[in-house]
Amino acid sequence: MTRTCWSWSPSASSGRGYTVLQAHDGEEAWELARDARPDLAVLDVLMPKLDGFELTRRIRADEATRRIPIILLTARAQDADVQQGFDAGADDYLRKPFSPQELRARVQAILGRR
Amino acid sequence: MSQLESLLVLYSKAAFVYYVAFNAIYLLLMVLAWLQMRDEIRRRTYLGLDEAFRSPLTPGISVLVPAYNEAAVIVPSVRALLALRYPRHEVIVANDGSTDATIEVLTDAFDLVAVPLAVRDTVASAPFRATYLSRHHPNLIVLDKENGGRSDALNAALRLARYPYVCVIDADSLLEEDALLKAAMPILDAPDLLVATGGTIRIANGCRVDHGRVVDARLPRSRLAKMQVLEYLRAFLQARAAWSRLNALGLISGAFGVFHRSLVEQVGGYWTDTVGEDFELTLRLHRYLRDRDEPYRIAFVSDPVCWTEVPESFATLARQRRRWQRGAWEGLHRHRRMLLNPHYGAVGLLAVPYFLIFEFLSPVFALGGLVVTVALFCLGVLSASYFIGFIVVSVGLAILLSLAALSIEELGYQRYRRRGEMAQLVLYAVIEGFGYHQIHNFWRLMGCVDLVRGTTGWGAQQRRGFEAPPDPELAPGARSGGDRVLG
Amino acid sequence: MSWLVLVGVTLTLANATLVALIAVRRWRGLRHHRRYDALIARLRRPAVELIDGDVPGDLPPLQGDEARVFAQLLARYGRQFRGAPQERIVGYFEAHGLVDEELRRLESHRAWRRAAAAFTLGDIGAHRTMAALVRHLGDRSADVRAAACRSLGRLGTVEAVEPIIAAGVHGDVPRPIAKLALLDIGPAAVDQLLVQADHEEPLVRAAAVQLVGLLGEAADAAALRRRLADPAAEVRTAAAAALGRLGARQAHDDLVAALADRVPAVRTAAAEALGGIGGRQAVDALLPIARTDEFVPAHAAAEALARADPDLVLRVAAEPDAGPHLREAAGRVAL
Repeated sequence: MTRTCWSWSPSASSGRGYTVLQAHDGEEAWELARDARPDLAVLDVLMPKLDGFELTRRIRADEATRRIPIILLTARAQDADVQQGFDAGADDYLRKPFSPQELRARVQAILGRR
Repeated sequence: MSQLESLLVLYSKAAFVYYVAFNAIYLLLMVLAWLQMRDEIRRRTYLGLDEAFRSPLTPGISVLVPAYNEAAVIVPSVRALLALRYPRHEVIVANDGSTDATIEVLTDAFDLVAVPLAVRDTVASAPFRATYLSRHHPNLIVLDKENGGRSDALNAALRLARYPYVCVIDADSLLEEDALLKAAMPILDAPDLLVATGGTIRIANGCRVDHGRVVDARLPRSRLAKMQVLEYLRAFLQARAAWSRLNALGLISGAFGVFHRSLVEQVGGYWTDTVGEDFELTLRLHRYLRDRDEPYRIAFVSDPVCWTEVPESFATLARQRRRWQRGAWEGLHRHRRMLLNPHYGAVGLLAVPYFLIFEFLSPVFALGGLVVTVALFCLGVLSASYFIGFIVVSVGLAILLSLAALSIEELGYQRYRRRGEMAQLVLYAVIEGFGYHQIHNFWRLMGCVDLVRGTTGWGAQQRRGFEAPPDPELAPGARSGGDRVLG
Repeated sequence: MSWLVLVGVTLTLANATLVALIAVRRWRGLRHHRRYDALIARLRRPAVELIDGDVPGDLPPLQGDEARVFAQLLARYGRQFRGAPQERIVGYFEAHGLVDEELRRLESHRAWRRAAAAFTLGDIGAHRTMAALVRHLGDRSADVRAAACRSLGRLGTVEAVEPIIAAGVHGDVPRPIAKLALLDIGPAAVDQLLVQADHEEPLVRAAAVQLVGLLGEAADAAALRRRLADPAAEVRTAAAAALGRLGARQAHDDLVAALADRVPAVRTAAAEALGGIGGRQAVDALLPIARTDEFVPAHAAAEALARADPDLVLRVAAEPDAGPHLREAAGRVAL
C-alpha cells in the first residue's frame, strides 16, 4: 500500500473495532496476509515490489488466504484495471480519489456491518 | 450593603440576565421554527405520501415496543400498530419481565406460538425467556425476557429487528395512521444522509380513543394536563423544529423516533444505566458521526403525531420531572466533552450548552433568582422599579413565548377545533408564570437533589455514591475485538 | 422608571398582537374549514361523475373557491387513475385553462410555488406539459427538481426516461426519487435502463439493475446474468436480487455460483433469489450456508429453503448441527 496516495488515517477507519494492519509494499502485504489472516484486504493497484493484481492472484492461490475478501483501489483513468482486478480475484473496487467515508462505507458493506 | 447582600444582588441580576437571555434565545428559536413550519406546510402539497406507500423501494421499519406491566393497553396498542399505513413493517413487543398478565393477554389476543428465533449478537441484553410469533399476524414478534429496564428491552428488540430502520415507541403511544410514513419521508428522500427522525408528541388525555387511535382530539379536562399541552406545544412545535433546522436536534423522544438500525447497533445500543436513554442516545449519535466526519442529518418532522398520556396528578408529574432532570444530567455528563467544543459543530456549541444552562440549570436561575429577588425586595435592598421590571420581563416574555407557540399551532396545525379550546390555552399561557412555572422548577430542583443523593432508577432509592460513568468509547454491550483489516 | 414603562408596554403590545392574531386566525380558520368541508361534500359527487364519464355535457361553470376545490378533488383522484378516466380529468383542466395556469405558476419567482405547480401538473396528467417539466429538472431549487421528477414519473411518458436517468446520475435529483419516477413510467423504461446497466459508475449500474428487476420480464434476465460477474459487489448484489424478482430460472446456475461469493451481501441476495427459483442444486447449496454462514446470509438461506422445500427444513432443523436459522425457519413453517 503506497503511503502517498491519500490522506487517510487509520483512525478514520478503525472506528468500531477495526484493527488496521498497514503494509508499505506488496511483499510486506503478502507476508501480513499470510501471517495475520485479516478479515479484509484493501490493496492499491500500484504498489512497489508486488502490484495489486499479482498480490490478489497470490492470495487467491494460497489455501490459507484464499477466502479473504479484497477491495482494490484503482486509478480513475484505467477502466481495464477494474476488470483485470476482478479476473485476478478481487471482490470489489474503489476508484481513486475517494473520500474516507466512501472507503469506510465499502469496508462496512463487505464486512456486513451496515 | 453588606457583602452578603451585594452577592445576593448579583445573583438576582444574574437571574435577570438569565431570563432575558433565555427568552431571547427562545424567540430566535421561534423564528426558526416559524420558518420551518412554513416550509413544511408548503411541502405538504408536494410531499408524495401516496407514492411512498405504493413504492417497492420504501425501506422496511421494525417498530420496537418495550412493555412493562402494560396488560391494560397492550392489545389495542399492538393492533393499531399492526394497522399502521406503511408498506413494510413489523411490530416487535419486548415484554420486560412484566409481573402482570401482559404476556398472557398478548398470547390470547394474537394466538402466539413459541418459535425459536435467531437473534443477532450486536448489543447485549438481559436473557431471553422465549420468542413468539403470531399465527394470524406474520408481522408480529413478541419477545419475553427477564426484567432489565426500558433500555435493555429496546436493545433486546433491536437484536430481533430485521428491517433496516427501527421505530422506537412507548407501549402506550398512540401513533396516527400515517405517522410512520410521514416520519419516514425525509429518510426516503435522502437515505444516505438521514439517520434519525422524531415526530411530534401530543397529549392524549381527554381525547376520544378508539381501537388504539385518537379519533377526536380535545383538550384534557385536568388543569395540570392542560398546562402540559402548552408545554409540549412549546417544546415540539417551537424548540425541536428550530433545533432540527440547525441540525442540532439534541433529543429524539423515546415515545416516537425512527432510527437507522445498524447505526444504533454500531454505537452500542441504548445505555442501560440512565433514565434519560433517549436523550443520551441522540447525543451519542451526534458525537459518533461528527467524530468520524460523516455527513448526516437528524431531523424533527412536525407532521407525524404520536399521542401519549401524561400524568394528571401532582405526585406523578413531579416524579416524572425529577426523573427527566436526572436523565438530562446523566446524558450531559456522559458527553461533557461535547460542551462548547467546536469539533461538534452546532450540537456542541449551541444545543449542549442550551440543555445545560436553560434546561438543567433552570431551577438555579429561574427559581433561585426569583426567590432571592423577592426576598431582597422585601428587605428593601432592591428598588421597586427593579423588582417590578424583573417580574414584568420574566413573566411577560414567558407569556410571549407561549403565545408564539400557540400561534404556530393555530397557523400550521389546528388540532384543537372546538370552541373555546384555544381561548383556554391562551389563558393558561398567561397564568403559567404565576405558579406552575415555579412548581416545575421546584421539581427540577428536587431532581438535582436526587442526583446528589444518588437516587437511581425510576423512583427507587439506592445508596450508590459517585462513580464515573463508563467510557463512551467502549460503548455498552458492544462486542470487543472486531475485524482486522489489512491495508 | 421610563425604561420599565417602555418594556412593559412593548411586551403587552406584543402579547396582545399575538392574541389577536390567534383569535382572528381561529375565527377565519374555523369558518374556512366549515366551508371547505361543505364544498368537498358537495363537489365530490360531480367530480366522481366526471371521472366516470357520466356527465353528458360540461358542468355548470364553477367560480372561485368552488372551482379551486373541484380542481383539487380532481387532481387528487387523478393521482390514482390512468387511461380514459385520466383523459377526462385532463380534458376538464384543459377546457378551463387550468393547465396553462399551472404552467404559468411553474415559472413563478418563488420556489415553493414552482414546486407545488410541478407536483400538481403530475396529478393533472397533461402530456403536453412534459417539456416544461423536463426543463425544470434543472431548476435551481431542489424541491422543484424533485417535484418535477415525480410528476414526470406520473405522466408516464417514455421520452422522460432519459432526462430522469440523467438527473439521477448527476445528482440533480435524489436517486430514490429518480428511481421511483422510473418505476412509475413502467416497463417502457427498461430499454434505457439496460443501457445504464453498463455505466461506468457502480452505483448507477446497481440502480439500473435493481429497476430492471422490478420492471422487466424474464427475457431481460440475460443482461442481468452478465452483471452477476460485475467487479463491484453492490452491482452483483443488485443483479442477484433482480434475477430473483424476475423469477429467472435460467439464472439458476449462476445464482448457485453466486452463493460462493466472498461478500456476504451477494450471498444473501443470491439466497433470497434462489428461494423463489428453487431447484435441487439450489437446495443443496443453500443448506450449508443456512447452517454455518454469517448471520445475514444464513438467515436468508434458511428462509429460502423454507420457501423452496419446507419439508426438508422441518427434517433438517431437528438435527443437532442445524443452527438457529434453520430452527427458526422450521418454527415458521410449522406455524
